[in-house]
Amino acid sequence: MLSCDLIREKSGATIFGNNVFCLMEVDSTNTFVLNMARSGAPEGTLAVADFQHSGRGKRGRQWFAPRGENLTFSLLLRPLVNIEYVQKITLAAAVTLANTIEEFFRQKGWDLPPIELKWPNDLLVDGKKLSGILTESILKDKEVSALAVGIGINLNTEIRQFPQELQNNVCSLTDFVGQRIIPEELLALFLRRFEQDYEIWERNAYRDVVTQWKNRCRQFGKKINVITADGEREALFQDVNDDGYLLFKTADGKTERLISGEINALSD
Amino acid sequence: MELKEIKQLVKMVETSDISEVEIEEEGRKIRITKRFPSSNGEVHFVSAPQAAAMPPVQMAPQTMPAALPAEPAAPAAEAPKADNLIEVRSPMVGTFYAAPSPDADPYTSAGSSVSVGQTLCIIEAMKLMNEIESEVSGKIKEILVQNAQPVEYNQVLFLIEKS
Repeated sequence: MLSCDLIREKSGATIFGNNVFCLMEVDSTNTFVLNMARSGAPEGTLAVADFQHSGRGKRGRQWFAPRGENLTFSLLLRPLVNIEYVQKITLAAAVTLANTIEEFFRQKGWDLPPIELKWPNDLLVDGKKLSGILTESILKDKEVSALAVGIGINLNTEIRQFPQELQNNVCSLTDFVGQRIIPEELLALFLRRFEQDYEIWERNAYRDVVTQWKNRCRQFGKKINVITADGEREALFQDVNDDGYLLFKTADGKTERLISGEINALSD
Repeated sequence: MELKEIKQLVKMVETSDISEVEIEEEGRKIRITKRFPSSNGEVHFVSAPQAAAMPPVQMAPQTMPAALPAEPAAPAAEAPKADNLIEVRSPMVGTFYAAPSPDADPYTSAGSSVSVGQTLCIIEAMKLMNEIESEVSGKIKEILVQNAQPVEYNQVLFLIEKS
């Protein structure tokens, strides 16, 4: 189990990383912090779990995380700006996480190929998934009463330990360095960076998030598969607009926006 | 006490049942009072006399509107024909989900009773799942959208008969 003391000691963050829960097992860290929020838990409350038995990807998809080997956590926020701006936090968290992981590797003197982002917020290295983010909020009209940013990072699971069918699509930080990474250290750095960035986003209504996000995206003009509740279709990745929505060009040349759904890269 | 911590305190007061909190630390005293505990949790700052030497908390006016003069009650419901019928509208553009996951039971259904704070549905955008809570108690009269349907901002999702 992760050490709450170590997280607190290493993070040095004022708000994030003080109220920490290190859990052996939980249904989902997002559910845990949102339940804490309902009982009045403050912003910055953090839950880290060795194992989530109902850890979720999008729409109930399971997140593969063997016990104690990956880093899975949720951070509770209580944003003051309305949901129309706050919704971009789902992109913003990916930017901060990518910056943090690269900074962490630099500090350690380790090499890591550049981290790219896949809309809306997967972190990829060499096209393979390193991390996923699922954010959940409780809304009272347009006001956000609580918001949980849930993050899973493939940290110390070697790729050969993943199920066979996933091995070509995922990557793990440990494989880039050939040694175990201390989860508390990476998490503490993330908390510090996130606290700084979050304060800026809240102050400027998430203004620069999309620009920063786009700097890490390499899919512009590329062929993609757009997957929505209506099915799948081929398209061209065009842009991400100021709201964070994906703009794509369909086979008949029309531009459409994607708000919910996912995309997969197709070879040209 | 740092500005950030004060902001935290303000948020905690806003979202809690506490109407007033007073903290004294290193000769500075800060009192946060919620003027209208039953409204939107607006708070205002009072800089205590002991803090005279220090600049009062500067962020207060920016983050928290000063207590408003008592507002007249909201205009009577525009639709007199059904003034106990409440429309629940989508606060954002996204996809409507009636249940927490594809294989789970829906949060609610037509004819069911709902209470204040009960989750009615999820609106998803960009992998952000937003639980929409009921602001009233009553009975679901109608659900106007289908599961997994895209919804626009302000689109009516539910009609609730207020009890």
